[in-house]
Amino acid sequence: MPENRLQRSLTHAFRLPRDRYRHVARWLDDTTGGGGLVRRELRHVFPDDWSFFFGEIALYCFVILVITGVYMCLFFKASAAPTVYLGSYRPLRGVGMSEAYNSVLRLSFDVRAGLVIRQVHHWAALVFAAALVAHLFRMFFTGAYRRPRRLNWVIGLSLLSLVLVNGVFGYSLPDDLLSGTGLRIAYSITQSIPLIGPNLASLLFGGDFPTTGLIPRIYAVHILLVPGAIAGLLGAHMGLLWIQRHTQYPGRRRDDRTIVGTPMVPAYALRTTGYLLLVAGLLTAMGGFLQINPVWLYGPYRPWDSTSFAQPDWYTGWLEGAVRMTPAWDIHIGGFLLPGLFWPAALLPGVVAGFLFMWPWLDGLAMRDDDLHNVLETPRDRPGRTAIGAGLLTFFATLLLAGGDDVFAATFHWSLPTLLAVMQGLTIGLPFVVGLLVYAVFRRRHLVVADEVSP
Amino acid sequence: MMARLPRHGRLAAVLVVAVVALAIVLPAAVRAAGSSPSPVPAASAPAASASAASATPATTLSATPVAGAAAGPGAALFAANCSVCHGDHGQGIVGPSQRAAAFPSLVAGMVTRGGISMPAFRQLSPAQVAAASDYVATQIAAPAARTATVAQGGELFRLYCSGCHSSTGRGGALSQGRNAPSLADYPAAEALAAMILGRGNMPVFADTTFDVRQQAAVALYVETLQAPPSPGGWGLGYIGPVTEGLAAFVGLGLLVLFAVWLAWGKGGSRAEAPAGQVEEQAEPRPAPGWPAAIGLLVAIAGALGFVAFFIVGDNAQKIGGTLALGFLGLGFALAYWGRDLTSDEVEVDRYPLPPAPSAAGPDGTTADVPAALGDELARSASVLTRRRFLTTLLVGAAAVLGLSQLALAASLGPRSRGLRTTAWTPDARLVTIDGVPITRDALAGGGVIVAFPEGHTDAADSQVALLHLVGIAPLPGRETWSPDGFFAYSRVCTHAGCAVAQYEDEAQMLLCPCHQSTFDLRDGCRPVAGPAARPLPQLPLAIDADGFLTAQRDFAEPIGPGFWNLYA
Repeated sequence: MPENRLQRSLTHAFRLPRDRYRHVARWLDDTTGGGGLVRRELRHVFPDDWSFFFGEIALYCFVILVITGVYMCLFFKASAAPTVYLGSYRPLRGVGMSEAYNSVLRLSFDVRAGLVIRQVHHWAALVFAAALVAHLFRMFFTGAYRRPRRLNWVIGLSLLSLVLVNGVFGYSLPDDLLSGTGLRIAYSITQSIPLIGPNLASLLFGGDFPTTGLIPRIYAVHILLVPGAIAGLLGAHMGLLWIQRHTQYPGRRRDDRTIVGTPMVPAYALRTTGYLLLVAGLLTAMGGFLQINPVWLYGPYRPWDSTSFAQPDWYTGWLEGAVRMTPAWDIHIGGFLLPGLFWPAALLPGVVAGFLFMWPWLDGLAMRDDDLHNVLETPRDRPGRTAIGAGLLTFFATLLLAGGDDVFAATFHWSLPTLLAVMQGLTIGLPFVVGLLVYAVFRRRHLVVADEVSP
Repeated sequence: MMARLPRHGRLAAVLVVAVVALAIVLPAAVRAAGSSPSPVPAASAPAASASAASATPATTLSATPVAGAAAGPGAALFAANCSVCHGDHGQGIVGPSQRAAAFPSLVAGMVTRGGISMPAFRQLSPAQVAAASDYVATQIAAPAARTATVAQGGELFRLYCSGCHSSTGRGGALSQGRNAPSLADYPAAEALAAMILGRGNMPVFADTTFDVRQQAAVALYVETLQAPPSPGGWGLGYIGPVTEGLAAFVGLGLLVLFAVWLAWGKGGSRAEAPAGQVEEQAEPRPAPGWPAAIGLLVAIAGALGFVAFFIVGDNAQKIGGTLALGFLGLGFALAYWGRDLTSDEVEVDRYPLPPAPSAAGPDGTTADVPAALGDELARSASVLTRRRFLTTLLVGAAAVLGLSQLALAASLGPRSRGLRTTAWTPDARLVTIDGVPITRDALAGGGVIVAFPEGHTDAADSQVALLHLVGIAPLPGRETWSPDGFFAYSRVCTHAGCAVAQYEDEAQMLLCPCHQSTFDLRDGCRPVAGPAARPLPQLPLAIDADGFLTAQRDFAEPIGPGFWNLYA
């Protein structure tokens, strides 16, 4: 049988004599001095569990966002200068609009594969945020935030905050009707802050809304400032993870001193690279088959246009719901006004962020636990914490659903005021009900398990 | 071993060639089959075909045999079927006027589907429907209506219609449990009828807000929204971020399934290995290699298909779908390789926990790294702390230099100054968005006009909703603000600043579509539901000697959302 030449050369490419690998290794050590380090870290241990992949999903979404984002930068024009659309989408031909919106239409209709890239970018952003929230709650429910990982919890929350903020900026850039409506609301929220509100809004937006300088400003922040900060914090997050090593679920031979898992090379590296491509594949499929943010249907932003079903992307939806449900609580203090918008839109996210940032210390104080932990707990181990987390999740979920109340009312022919009242009740009551229920169930199971373990 | 490889290699080569050929031939075949090669979305084809005739009036008119239709069967069909209700000249009797029905597709859609109280004319053949529609569009409708374009319609739609019906025409929620319907449920010409007749809480728009050309334009735009152009794929119901968010979580769920597969039984979850040693399972699982091979072949096919579709400029589904196949194929192959084709090693290692502070190293020195590091830092810091005055000065200098950079922020924006005044000046005329002055004859049939001060149709803070309200008494102190029953209210919501675009005619409410604040027109636009706390400011109106509506002066209070010194 004749030797296949391709086969032979491929075999040779990978089955080098040991000398060749030594040669490469020597070159590496000579040029970097890190041969020993690399050798040790090739065997870096990664414990395996499906729930550890949320962070990886987020990381890979970021990679895809950067790649697709750079591509879109080549076509997007960050300018509010007025133009008239003359492209190939007929229902907008001859319509006056900003350069920014015009360039998004051009990217969507007249740049090959431009629409796919744009849609992949947007889907990646939505899945990114979803993965981060799932990651956050995985940490919460398993106690991964305890010492020595408190700092990394704070870094992770900072990352989440930056991602959400940058998502809002990305939503705002195309200058379509939803973009502009969102910015108008953001301006009003800034304006509602006591004392500094009006001038802070003017400073950030470059004057009184709407301003022509805003889009270039958001652009610089969206593509440079925040992604740079995310990249830096991500490096710190991953660096700490690397130094401290990943947490692990309890199991045989596993304790706070001993870690058991898959070595990085070759198995884990192959799997995670494959996973990167699976994430990319799924997001590309979504970008190809599921239409997202069809800005040509929304039209260009003009301050006198508006639309029903004006929702933000899902990760801002909880604030949208809070804004919709908070009654008209304008407060007058000695001739000054505290607008009702301040409570749900400025105070609530501050309180939520503050609580989450402080959580590892609150938990440590409450549990009198200042030890170093590398083995995770399960939700059943800590019924109280699990109840708090379930209550928090319920709270966010009701707020999020309320953010789409007009969509539900119109779609299912419900009465919006009734739905609003129901959602207000559920938002206040349901978190406690769910929390107590979860506590009762997990407390019982906890005791049962404890009984089985103890003689 | 080596003897078997060439056979596999040949098989692989044949497969690769077959896949490559398929990837090249398929797009070409698709292209030859008549798929649009332009990057203009082919997915919009259904919508385009439905509205192609109407999308550009120019082509429609040139394609319509005007003279032939006039003398042909259209006239007879019209006389036999339409004129009973719409009048001999389409002027409207029981049924509404047909003056705006200037496009055959609009008429044909209504004839075949029916709507409001008009029956569907199923007894007419398609040719008869076409003939009658052509007749109405070319002979009955007003010539001015034929100049309407879909783009003009879109602009008017987003100003007057999308507040209730949404920018994609999918409807919306109103006050007191009412809902605005989705326009996809009705023929586009029913929008014309609704504009003429008014429907429940929908005010009359025909001849109050829209002239006949504008009515036709809006109807054309409504027609495109029946099946909105969707080059991006499945439209998810065209209701925006709500379903998109849901889809994102479905996507996350699929990724979790991948993760469950990857982590299943891995990393020594049941394994036991002596500390510090690598354990290889005695019997490696005999996993087959062919799944990875299939994955890799799919990756090649996907990549080639992507390039082929990209070159012919095909639609997003083919470009995205093939590229996704490429990623998924390669990703699956690598993941499978790492999961099933790599010996199932389990590594055991130590966490880098610090030793107890008192623990001494093997050579008797302390292994307390933080303590040593602290001592080292203290030594280094003494370089600074020895010179106390200089150190104080250093901190001060650094702080002053740092704070001085805040001055740069002053360039970012001017101090806010426009929150208290708008572009309204005494005697400024009210004009439409097109700059046409509004006279006392406007809005005779009710309805609403979005008005601006003359010369300032781009002034966002000056937009007002002009209404002609019969039988509503002005608030005390505002008796002279509403001459002839014309009321003008700021259209900037006092809650978060969106355009208060919903007007409920029967309920006499203005609503904001962003957060559903509801303002009662019978009570000076006092907020009666939703999160807004302050009424919409009213613009004092007058009527000048020539019969034009004017402003007496600017608003008496700041318009728009609240701020801390609003009353100061």
